[in-house]
Amino acid sequence: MRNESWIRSFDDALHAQGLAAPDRAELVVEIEGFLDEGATMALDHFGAPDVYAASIIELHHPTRRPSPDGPALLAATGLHKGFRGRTVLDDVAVQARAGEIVAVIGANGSGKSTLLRALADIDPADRGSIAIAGSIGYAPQSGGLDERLTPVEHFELFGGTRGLSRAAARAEGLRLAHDLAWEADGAPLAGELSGGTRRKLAVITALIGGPDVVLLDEPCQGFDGASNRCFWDVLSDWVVDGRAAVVASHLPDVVHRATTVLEIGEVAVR
Amino acid sequence: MTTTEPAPWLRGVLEPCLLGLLADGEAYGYELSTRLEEAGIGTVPGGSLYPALLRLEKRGLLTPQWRAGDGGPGRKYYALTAEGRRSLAHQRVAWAEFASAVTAVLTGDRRAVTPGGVDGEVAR
Amino acid sequence: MNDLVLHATMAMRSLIRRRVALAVLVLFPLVLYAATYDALGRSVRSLVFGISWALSTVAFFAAMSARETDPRLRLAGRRPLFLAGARLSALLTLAAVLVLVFWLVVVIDRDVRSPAGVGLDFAVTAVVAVAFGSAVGAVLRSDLEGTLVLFLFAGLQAVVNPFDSWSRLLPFWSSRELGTVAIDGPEQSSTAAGLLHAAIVVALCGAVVAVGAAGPLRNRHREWRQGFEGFEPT
Repeated sequence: MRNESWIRSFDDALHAQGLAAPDRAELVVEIEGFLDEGATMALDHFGAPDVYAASIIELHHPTRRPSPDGPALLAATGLHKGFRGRTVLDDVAVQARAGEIVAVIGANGSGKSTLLRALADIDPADRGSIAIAGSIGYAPQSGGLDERLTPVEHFELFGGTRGLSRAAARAEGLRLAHDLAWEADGAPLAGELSGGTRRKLAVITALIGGPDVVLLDEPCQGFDGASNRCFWDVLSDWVVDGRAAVVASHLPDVVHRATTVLEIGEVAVR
Repeated sequence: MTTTEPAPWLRGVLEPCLLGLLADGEAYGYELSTRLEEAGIGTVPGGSLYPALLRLEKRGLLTPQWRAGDGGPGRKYYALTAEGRRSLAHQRVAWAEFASAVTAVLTGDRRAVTPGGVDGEVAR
Repeated sequence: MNDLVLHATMAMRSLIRRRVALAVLVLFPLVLYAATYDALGRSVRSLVFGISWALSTVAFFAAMSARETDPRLRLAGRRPLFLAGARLSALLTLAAVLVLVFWLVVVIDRDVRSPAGVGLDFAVTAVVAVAFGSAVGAVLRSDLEGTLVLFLFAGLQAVVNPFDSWSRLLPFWSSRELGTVAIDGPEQSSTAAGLLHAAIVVALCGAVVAVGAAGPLRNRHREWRQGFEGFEPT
């Protein structure tokens, strides 16, 4: 493989994994300098471009640490919820501080979705108290979209609801989509998108306009590896500005990407 | 692969070596690679060198600075931070202890083992 | 106002993109009209039956689509009545276009006794259909169930004897009443009775939609605080 094509593949791989253009340019210039001066082949020194790109990405976005001293934006205690005589939520407590990503984990049927629906007030809990400082965004486990509207129309609708102009909503939605490794401009109706892309649209419509707390139910369902990585980078950047996220997921990497983990289950909590 | 494979332990000592080289003053990537080779430490492929530099940078031990090159697009120079100097000082001591311990084990001279394991105290 | 236009526009786009369904719904009343062409009264009544079923079904579909997005938009700050209002604006606009087309077909094609009466009949039928379809959409959860229920009510109206007193319990009774006035004259039927019936049905449906839009009783223990200061949980 010639150095030029190696560099191009490397840059593409960095781009696909969501690294910003200035960072990519620096990495490329540095490697080009090295190759020129040493008159060496990129493949010999750096190995396969996509593998090397992945190792660089990992260094650029280390796993986040919790930020325990931010103000609490969401605090729920003593949540109970039953369905047809079966207790799904039994005295569940959740707290999310500014800067925190709370992962809600648990087996299928453990009540992850029920908890998020209760927090979002879509399907209120039978008992318990919920306090939320500020506004909420919510992406349900499935759906939550109008099948007959395009992604850009969704951006306008949800961004407009949070006070953005149509142009601003469109720009922010397209930027979030780009950060999630998806070019949403000109995309077809939501009903014609693939499963993973629909999840991206649900996540974007939850994030757009910057609510203080975002509740995401299985957001990465159907994401490919690069998209999954992009999602966590987007969410990490997003909570840095003093916001909080609660993410329900059964995927193992959620535990490493979140700042706090809450396990819920049949028997007890925490 | 046309370059010689680095020795297996090089990976572990690469970061301290880079800190040591930079104690003499700032340098850029290729320059560091030639100096490592001249010092007899071995040929370090760029694919090991730059991630090591990036790790040190992310830990705040190095600070990078872009300088205009001679007609080229510029070079990224790395310099030690105060934190980097502290880390180097600490690692000099730690390495000396470790190296003598390794030497002792490799040569079978267990009596010469590190502080802590003085003289006959080492179990036979 | 701009917000209402935005939401109504999106609701309208979502509606008119059900192209095949819409085409069937537009053609259905016309086919009925053509099939019963020989008798003027019967053909106009068939057309009205077609309008009532088609528009109530469109309204029902719109309510079903909104089930996905409305809760999330409410969470983002939209009031339930605002969202219902935007959707109704879109539906009524679409209804007005359809009614105008059907009315033109009838008054150009046929020599009806009272073109204005036919127009009133169509318009009232359209309003009742939008209200009734929205109400069914607030209660039922599946496309199939809703379509069948709407077909049942629209169909019953077409086959019952309008002079049986129980037939006044049907939502589209006013369509038949106003149609009879327009075609046969006001001897046996009354415009006032038709309008009153329609008003009652629309009010009842409106109540059902409003209750549905407000959702289940919200958590009384829930506490909302605006602003970014945060708080210390107890």
